[in-house]
Amino acid sequence: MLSISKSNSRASLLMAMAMLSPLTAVAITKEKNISVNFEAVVADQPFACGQSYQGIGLSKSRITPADFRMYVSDIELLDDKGNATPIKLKQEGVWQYQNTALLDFENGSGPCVNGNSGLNTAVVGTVPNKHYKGLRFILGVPAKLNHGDATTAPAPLNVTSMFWAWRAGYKFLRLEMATSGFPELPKLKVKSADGKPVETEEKDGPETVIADADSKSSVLTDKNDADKAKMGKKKRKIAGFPVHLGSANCVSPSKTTPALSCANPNRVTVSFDDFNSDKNSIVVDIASLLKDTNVDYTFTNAGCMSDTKDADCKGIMSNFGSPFNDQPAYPQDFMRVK
Amino acid sequence: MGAVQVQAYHWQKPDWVPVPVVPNDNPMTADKVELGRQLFYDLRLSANNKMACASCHIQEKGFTDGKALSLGVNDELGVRNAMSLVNLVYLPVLTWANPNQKQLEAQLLVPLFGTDPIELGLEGQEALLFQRLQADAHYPALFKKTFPTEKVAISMSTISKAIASFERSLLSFNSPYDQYKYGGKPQAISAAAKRGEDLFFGDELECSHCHGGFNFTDSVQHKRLAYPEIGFHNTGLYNLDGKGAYPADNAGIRAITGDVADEGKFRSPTLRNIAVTGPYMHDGSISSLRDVIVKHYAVKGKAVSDGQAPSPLRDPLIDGFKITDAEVDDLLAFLESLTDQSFLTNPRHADPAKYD
Repeated sequence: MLSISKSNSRASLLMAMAMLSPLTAVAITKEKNISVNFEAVVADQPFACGQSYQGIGLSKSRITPADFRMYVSDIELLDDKGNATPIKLKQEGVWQYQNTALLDFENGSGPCVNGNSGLNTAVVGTVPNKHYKGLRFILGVPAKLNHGDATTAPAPLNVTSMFWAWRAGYKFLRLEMATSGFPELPKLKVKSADGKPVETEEKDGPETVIADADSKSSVLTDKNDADKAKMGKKKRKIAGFPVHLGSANCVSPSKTTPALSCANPNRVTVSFDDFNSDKNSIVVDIASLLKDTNVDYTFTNAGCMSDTKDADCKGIMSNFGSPFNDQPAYPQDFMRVK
Repeated sequence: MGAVQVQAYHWQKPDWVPVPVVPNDNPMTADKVELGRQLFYDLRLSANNKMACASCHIQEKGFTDGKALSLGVNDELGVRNAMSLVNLVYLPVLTWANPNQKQLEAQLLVPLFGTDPIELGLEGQEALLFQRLQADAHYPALFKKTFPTEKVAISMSTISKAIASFERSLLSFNSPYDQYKYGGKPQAISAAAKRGEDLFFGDELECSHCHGGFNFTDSVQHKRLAYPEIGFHNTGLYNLDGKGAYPADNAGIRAITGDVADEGKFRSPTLRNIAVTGPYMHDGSISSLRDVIVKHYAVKGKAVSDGQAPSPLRDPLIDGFKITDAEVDDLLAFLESLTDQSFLTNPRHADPAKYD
């Protein structure tokens, strides 16, 4: 037993130690609770629905956020040698499912009308009771959960605000905001179950001209003949500057397979060498994310929606730490340790 | 078990039409179809209680809305022409330009919850939607009866399964052309329509390559087909930069696949009931069927009518043709023979508030 060969000396030594001191062995395998805390900010100010923030992006715009949520997954602690230990997430049925958690920084108030009152700013779970030095996680939903049936998915994968149904997946991160250039957000005339209006305000925002039929009447009562619906000019609103991170350019490898393979998965690995969950938190900074983008202008559709042809995504993808077209993945500049 | 239930549902179709395929986890039942019909016409399925699926999918217009582009609850325009909802159960892929939309249960989340554009505007309002339906006098019992094994009867899953089942029940195989071709009624269509049929299936016009088969589209699946067939094509509608570019916000499946070769590719829609589903094309940019023939297909694509060169990206079969006015009339007579009045007026597909 004690004749230790060179090749497996460390393993044998550990085994011998464990046998000699059973109490230590028990202590090593014991789990401890852990909470990785996140904090949303806009530069040096805390994020809050209803607040406006000055000097954002290349245009030094004034922004008023209206939603801020994101999925993180595969959260791991790193030891001194960089070896990863996954955090076993508490399966509490609201914010966490398997290895994926939804962080929700909006509370449904003011311009965040399409959100909800719940907030979630921490990932909670257990890890073996050891010493750790760093933290690593993925910003995004893992591929195996991203393309499932959203109508039967468990929480937090059943939040319709995070559905990205037309792309067949989820928005990994959703940031909505009004900016100086696009001051109006989509105003939904939402009514509660009893029919009373919850949100009735409506204003016209900046508009771009696109082609449309001449009819604007309610469709259910529309008696227009199809032939009369001639092309005319009509205005379409650009509502705010949304940022939607998610997998793009996804195709089925075969026509009969539902699984998707995405040329631009846009899942970002975020890693910090020094992170102590008892003292530190992860600061998520909207101002830093937008610092290389003119949020008062849009090249294509509103904001950045992860499309490789969406030029508004160039600086944003760079700060996420995700590659974009011929631009390589730069170190992320969105989150930091505090 | 699913298969047994599928057979139990009676498809409203003639025997010559192949048996459809439905997802294993949502076999057809008469109860689901009926519940789905009520939801399809229910204004509570929109943020402002003013729109339903049926607002943009009107039965008498072949379940389209007669507009170039549709308006959402915010009175904001979308970017696509409302598609006809007919024989959807035979489609392996749905909508105009998304190769990943293969199931109605998932596709219908786009109009319900989508924000770009906002259609029914319920994004983030799912709890409110369930609350509205729960508060109804009939829905709680109806959902329970329809989905007896579900723990929570009113859910996103049951709502989408019911609506999808109703949509799958929308079958149209009783046009004059069907009666002529399959129903043993040689006089069901006019002599002009018969001449138009020859043109349609002929080598000069090449229409039937993309609009062939019993559903007049090259995207098809059914029980007798081992592998689904899927067709996306660039018809040369636009050529904005001389290299085949389409408008940036409506570039076809390229927006989904990211493949530049997919620029301007859209799914060939069915031509059933085509005479009542104008305006035409994915963006409603052609108002009449005559113009679709004369100003688009006959000239190698509408880009040419718009003063541009024919698109280099267009499908090789879009090669233009010479056609006389009389032949256009014949072709139109054929296309009009695909209008199934019994489908457009079938009370089973209509607003239950009107036909209870």
